[in-house]
Amino acid sequence: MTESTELLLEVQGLKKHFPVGGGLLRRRRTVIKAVDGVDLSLQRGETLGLVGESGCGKTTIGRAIMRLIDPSAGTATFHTALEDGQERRPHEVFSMKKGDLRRLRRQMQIVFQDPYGSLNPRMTVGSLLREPLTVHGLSTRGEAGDRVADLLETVGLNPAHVRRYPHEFSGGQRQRIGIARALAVQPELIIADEPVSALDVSIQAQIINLLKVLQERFRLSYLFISHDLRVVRHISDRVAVMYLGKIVETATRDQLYAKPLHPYTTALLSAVPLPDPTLERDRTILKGDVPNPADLPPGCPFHPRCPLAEARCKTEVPALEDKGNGHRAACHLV
Amino acid sequence: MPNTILRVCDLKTYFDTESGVVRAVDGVSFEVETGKTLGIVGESGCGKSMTAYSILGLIPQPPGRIAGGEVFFEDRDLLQLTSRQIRDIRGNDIAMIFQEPMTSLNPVFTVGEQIAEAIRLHRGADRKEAWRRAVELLDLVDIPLPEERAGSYPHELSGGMRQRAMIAMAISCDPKLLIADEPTTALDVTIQAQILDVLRRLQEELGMGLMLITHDLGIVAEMAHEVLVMYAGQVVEQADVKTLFGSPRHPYTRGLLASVPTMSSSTEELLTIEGTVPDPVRFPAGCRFAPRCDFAAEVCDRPQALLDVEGHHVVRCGEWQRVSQKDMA
Repeated sequence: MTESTELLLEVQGLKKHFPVGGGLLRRRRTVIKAVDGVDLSLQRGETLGLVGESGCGKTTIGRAIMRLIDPSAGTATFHTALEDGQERRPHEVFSMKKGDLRRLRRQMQIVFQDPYGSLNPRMTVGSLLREPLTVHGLSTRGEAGDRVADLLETVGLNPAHVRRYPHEFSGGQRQRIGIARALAVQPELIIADEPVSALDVSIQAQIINLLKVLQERFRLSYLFISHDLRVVRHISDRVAVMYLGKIVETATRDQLYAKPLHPYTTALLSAVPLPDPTLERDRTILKGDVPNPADLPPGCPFHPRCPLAEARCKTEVPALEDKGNGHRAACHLV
Repeated sequence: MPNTILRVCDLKTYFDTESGVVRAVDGVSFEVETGKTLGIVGESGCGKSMTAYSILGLIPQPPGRIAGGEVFFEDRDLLQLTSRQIRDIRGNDIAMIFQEPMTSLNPVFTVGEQIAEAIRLHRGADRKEAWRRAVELLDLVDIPLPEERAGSYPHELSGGMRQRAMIAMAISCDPKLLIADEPTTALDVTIQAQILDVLRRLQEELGMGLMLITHDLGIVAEMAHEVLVMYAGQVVEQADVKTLFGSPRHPYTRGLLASVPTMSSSTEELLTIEGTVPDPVRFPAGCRFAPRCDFAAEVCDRPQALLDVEGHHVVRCGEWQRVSQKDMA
């Protein structure tokens, strides 16, 4: 929850275009606009939920902010201190040099969907957790042991299991290890990319609760990337909805779920199956599929599937505008 | 019962592994009625998919084996049939769709050819007639431009379109029973809504029984008439959908329902089920849920039988009355 509004991260005009095709035999090169002009901001201690369907570009945004991939355009300003004792000041992530970037990564960490794929199977939990400490020079050999035990306890794992390997843990426990590894360097921002999507529902709830407790305790900020609107609603303060590389709507959690403005958000919300058989729902079922991102329709990218589309939606691209109370939507009709 | 299309009695499917016998399905019984949907819900490893595979004779033997039980489809016990006989039933009277259609579609044939082949094989139709029927089926599952799409290869279709093609193939021989194993799990939520809509409509139009296996309680609530909750190879609760969601009796069902983030509740802490599913080689001797159960008592050290609660509602918990009293408090 936000106690004060202190800006942590501001992304402006982020674009990531992937060229496809080309090569010797094919003359035509097309460009996939995975992320096409995205602005977003995150306050300290806040959770921004980034939600959308596969291929909408949400994961690309997370990776670009982490500089795991290089963006094609835009800026990302991270307000933090690179060294202990320094004052916080803005740092532009996308133009940062390697050395600074490494120090900045101490302040931002990423948790992936599949903890099994992101944990080296040949390292024990202890060495997995010691690694970030050594890389960032955060503790000596002697202290590291205590710190590792402490981390395991923080994420609800038994410190006695420090010599075990990832395969000896269940999926939920492995995700806890992934979280502990991110926490090891005491970051300010955690980018969580579908962190609970691979887990069973009872385990999912455990991890969501853990993330919320940790946020309180360490005043963490989360960029929470997910396709699951139920999970996003539960954890986020604000939510941004993406469609085909663009943010189509953003608002506080309560605004967005109580009164979605964009027809895509409305359809997305109404498509979520709810565990209540007595509900009679008025459901908008969208026609067709998401268009090929290499061949985007002109005008509003959502118009071919939109139940409300008018003539101008086919030609004019709607801007993301404030429709009142900071509730922003990219739609001509609201 | 004239309406029962499938009756499973005390089905046991075991796997012999190096570390011991895995009792994947351990005494499961249920019925599927014509024109109705039975939802089977549970978390990974609870045995829901293995139940379906056992019915269709798709368990790899060895290491798997059917250790007991009966599976009556109409008046034949499927477990007693030869593999040839069961092949005749599979895809004809009983069809199945899986989570990932790409693995069940042949990548080197067009979807039209594959559907037409199934029709020729099972129905003995000629080439032209089978193709015409294939196009008709693609239209029935809401594939736009079905004549054109019939000539597409699976990789040319999106995930949602592939699943539709899979459904078209499954219903091509007018099955009496359709088994759908996590049919929408790999799909986006807006596409999932489309596919569920198609399934619901087809079931009504064709009057088939549907056995829907899913981990998503939301899907069960929307699609099923009757619900079976599985845990560690056993049925722990069964009731009609309104009863199950309205007054769940088993602590596991209740925990499962409480841990689903909803779209309306406040952001209170989600209730969780502590711990993890037991190792299938070493299930507890008594109630298999007891180690994770808030209500566990001494009686739970003994195996629990399925008890009839109110009317048509069974629960594998000797303490269900005490569990239900928590509502009153």
